[in-house]
Amino acid sequence: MAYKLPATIYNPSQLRSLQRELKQLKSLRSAQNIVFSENLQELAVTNSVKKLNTKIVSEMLSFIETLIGDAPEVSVSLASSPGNEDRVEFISWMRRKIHPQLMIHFVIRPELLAGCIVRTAKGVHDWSLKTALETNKEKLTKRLINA
Amino acid sequence: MTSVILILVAAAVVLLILIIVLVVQHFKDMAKSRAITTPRQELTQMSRQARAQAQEKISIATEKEVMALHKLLQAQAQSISSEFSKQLQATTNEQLKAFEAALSDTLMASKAQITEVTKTGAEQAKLAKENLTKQTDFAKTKALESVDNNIADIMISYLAEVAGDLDYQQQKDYLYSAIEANKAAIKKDIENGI
Repeated sequence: MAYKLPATIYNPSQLRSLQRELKQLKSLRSAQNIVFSENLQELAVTNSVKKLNTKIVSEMLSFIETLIGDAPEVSVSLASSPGNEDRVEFISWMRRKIHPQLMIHFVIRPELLAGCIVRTAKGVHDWSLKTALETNKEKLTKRLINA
Repeated sequence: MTSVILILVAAAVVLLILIIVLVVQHFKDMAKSRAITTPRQELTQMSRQARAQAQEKISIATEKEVMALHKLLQAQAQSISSEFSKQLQATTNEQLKAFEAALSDTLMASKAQITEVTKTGAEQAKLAKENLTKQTDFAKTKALESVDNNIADIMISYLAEVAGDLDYQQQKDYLYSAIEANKAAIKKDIENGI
């Protein structure tokens, strides 16, 4: 079964946490009276899993371990922190536009003023207002001098 | 009346005594002038007269000599005065010429020094002006460099202070449009990174 990754799970540490949880579940004989983590519950809901059994846990574990090894990661630096809803919306949008299993590491940097910086393993895409000002400081200086 | 007579008698007596005294004195003088002189006395008298004459001649001769000498001295004095005047004039002229020459030299030297000082002053002023211009330009360049280097930080801190924390919602559309416009590049980076 091909699992979908919920938008609430978006960084490698969550994947590793899920991996540990699923491994524990797999080693248990019975999953009764066990409180599942929110991430695991979300994973189950997203994939319409109503009951966790050994097979599903193994599949989920395999899926998560695959993601840990293969899921692409980006770092997104923002000037202000998005709320949970906005965060989920952004992650979903990024996975639609960029990659369905994209992992996102959010960094909040108020000095950016506005915009964002997206860092991948191969490059940096900077659309922050801070960088725009720094890049165009000569124009700004000229305007100040001319003024 | 009696007293008048007494007074007249007394006056007559006094007058008589006076007349007698005068007559006696007159005879004494006449006796002196008519006294008989001896040869010795005559010789002495002649000697006195000769001495007096000689003294008079000497005096006259001396006076003449003195006069001549005086004239000579006057002439010499005039000559000396004239010569001295000439010498003095020559010396004065010479000194004046030397003084004029020295003054001229001094003036020339002073003029040269003034010219040199003026020239040096002008050069120093020019140098100072150049230095001032250089320093001004340097300060201007430094100020511009400082502005240029710090303008972004200044603007960022200014915007951060004025705008405060821009809400995520306010920049959401910009974020999405920026990533949308560059999604191909991001995808390519991710594919190359995997």
